[in-house]
Amino acid sequence: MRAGAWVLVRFIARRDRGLIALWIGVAVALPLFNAYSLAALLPTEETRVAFAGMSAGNPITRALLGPVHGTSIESLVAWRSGVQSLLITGLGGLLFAIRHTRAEEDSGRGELVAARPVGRQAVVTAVTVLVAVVNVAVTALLTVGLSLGFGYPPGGTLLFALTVGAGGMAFAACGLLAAQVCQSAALARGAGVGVLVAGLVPGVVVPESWIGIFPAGWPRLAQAYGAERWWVPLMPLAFAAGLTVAVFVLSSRRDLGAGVLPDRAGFTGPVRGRLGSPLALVWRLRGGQVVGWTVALGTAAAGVGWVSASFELATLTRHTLLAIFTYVFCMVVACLTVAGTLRPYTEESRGRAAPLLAAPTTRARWLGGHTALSLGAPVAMLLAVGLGSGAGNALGTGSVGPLLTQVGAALLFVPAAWAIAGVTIAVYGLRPRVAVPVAWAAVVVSAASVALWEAGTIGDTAFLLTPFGYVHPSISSGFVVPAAFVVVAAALVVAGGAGFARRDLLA
Amino acid sequence: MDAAISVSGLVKSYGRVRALDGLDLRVDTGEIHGFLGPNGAGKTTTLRVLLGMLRADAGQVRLLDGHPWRDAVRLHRRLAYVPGDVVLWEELTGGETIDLLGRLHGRIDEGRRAELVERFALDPGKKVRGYSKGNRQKVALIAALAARVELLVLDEPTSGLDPLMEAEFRRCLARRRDEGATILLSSHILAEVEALCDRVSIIRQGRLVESGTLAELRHFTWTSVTARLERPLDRLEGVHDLEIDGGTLVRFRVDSGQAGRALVRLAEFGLVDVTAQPATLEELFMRHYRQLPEAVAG
Repeated sequence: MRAGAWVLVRFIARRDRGLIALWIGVAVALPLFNAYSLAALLPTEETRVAFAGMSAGNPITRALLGPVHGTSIESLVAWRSGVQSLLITGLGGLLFAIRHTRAEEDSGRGELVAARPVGRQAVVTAVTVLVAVVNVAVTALLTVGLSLGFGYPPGGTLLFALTVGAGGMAFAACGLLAAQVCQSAALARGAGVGVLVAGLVPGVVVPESWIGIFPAGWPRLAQAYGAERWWVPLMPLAFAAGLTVAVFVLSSRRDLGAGVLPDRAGFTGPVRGRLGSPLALVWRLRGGQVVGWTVALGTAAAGVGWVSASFELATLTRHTLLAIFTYVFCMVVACLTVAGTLRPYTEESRGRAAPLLAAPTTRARWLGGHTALSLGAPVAMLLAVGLGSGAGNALGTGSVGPLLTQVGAALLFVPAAWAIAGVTIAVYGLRPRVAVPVAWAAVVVSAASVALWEAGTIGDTAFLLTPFGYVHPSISSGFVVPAAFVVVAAALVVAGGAGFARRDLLA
Repeated sequence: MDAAISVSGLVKSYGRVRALDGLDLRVDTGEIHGFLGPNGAGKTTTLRVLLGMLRADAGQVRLLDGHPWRDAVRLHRRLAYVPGDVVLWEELTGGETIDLLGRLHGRIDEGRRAELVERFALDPGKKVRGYSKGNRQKVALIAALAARVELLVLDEPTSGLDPLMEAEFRRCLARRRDEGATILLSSHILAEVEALCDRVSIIRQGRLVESGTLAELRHFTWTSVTARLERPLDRLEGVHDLEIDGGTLVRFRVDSGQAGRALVRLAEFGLVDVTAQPATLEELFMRHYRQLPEAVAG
């Protein structure tokens, strides 16, 4: 059943050598960076005690990262890096797993491979092997880097690194399972990222004593450089093993290209509405996703708003909880904005733009239709977040006040989302080949700057230049910054449109 | 003769759609077997079942000496496949793609591979991204034809090839047959089918409607006859679509095997001149492809 796996391991490793290097690099660099910056920031025991006290008093960090277990520099580094590292190894493994399983089937290349003497579990085996190699490498490099480079105790360092590596395995197994169950790669990615987020942020709503059953609790439970519970990395490993068994069972039974959920019967009647304009086509192609996400975000926000109304945990009040979640929802909307705005690139590179542009449709009209939805979608989603969380909170507290506040807070992010869409459209119009990496890099850099600013590495001014700056719960800026983002977004959209009007179409 | 492929009563449904509805198919060892049918008849689904990518809902399927689903890996070592829709890894070169598919297969004849690259005039150093549809098709064809196998399964393999390459492809296929390979060829190109295939099977709506050699299939058709006579003729039994022009010029169709009787009758009227044409392949396939009125009603 696993014949051909070794050839696939070598092929995937070669095909994705750049991505794998990036994945390992970021996963190793982040804790090392934290070790470096925290050591510079907190050189003495007194500063560290003060920092620990401050962090314990900060409800946002406390909820996301858990309590501080010690005031040694290595404890602080492990505390700050744990969830971040899981996010990186988890996201890397998840996307890698889906990319080489369901996405290959979607494209039709899976058929080319399946017709060779290749076992039904060969692809899954190859991906599991590579994910394991990557996580072992991350574990080893982290251990060596922190213990040799920074002189941290090797035992605790190994435990910290093992927790991160084992967590990466668990999320990669989630990705593999999602790829088996879901009928398309996009659906699998959505499900996988949903599991990742659900696994890493429950610290905000789940009490400390229960956190251990969530991935977010693994680093807290392990307590590297503290109580050092060595059995903790076995939890994610056992979890990963269980999921992998399920994956193997599914992959040996299902038809190529099929999911576990049965096919929906195709729509056979005439196309609803008239596809009379490029904008109508754009809506037909992307509208379902926009509506789906808007409803999902609104529902989730309503739940959060309602729960937070009666929430009072130590220093974490309902106001701060709502503010954190609104911020997290803004980040999700930013990611969805990039994904949606990149759609014209997909359409063009797959050759689906050419037939439309060969018809009497101008480039401006075609791109204009996509741009209209790219700019409109975040407004709808943010409005849903604001209305949902506000209404939920109003129901819980019995006062209408939160509704307006929340709608305002969510809509404040619109200029930033437009700026992100603007960057994407500009790169797409001017340098389409690098549109996907550059657009996502912009979001990743913006998200990373949140961590950098919180760690004090970059100042307020620099942080306000990034889209996540002025909406941060701890920052109150006037209306100048959002207005500036609107202007920048408009300029970027115009630049992208002008570039697209002048350049060659992609083959 | 041994059957390389034998299928009986094969059923495969996707949700409520019954793609294969009791299909029968037999391909003998050592023949080139044409697999024909209108779009959506179930050809590709059949091939995917034969390759163990889809599991049959009902029916018996035997491929070489094994079961296509359970013995997939063992059987795939002995066959090569070209899918109808060739999608490759954009970032690989054509040569790397052939290498990868070859290593996955394990039985690649390097000499034959080099020869095929030459014959099909493929530039193996170019990235797949820069290939035309025809060149992508060539990559998949070379990877399949270079494998040392006893069975080739080809799903519309010449789509996108220019006539020169198509002729090259026919030569390669004929050679593989002479070496003893069995070939199942799904195709819409009738000239290709006529030039290559020993036998053909035609399917429609997931069922076999006709199977046999082209001569046998023609047997069930008709011959168009045009004749000039010395004396006017007023009627003629046992023929179809009779047209009499001025009494001495007649045109009609006669069922295969019945031409003799009609000609004897014509001779009685002083046959001056006659041309007889068997049904063309186009006419033959049109008849099988076209949905019969009762099939639509049912």
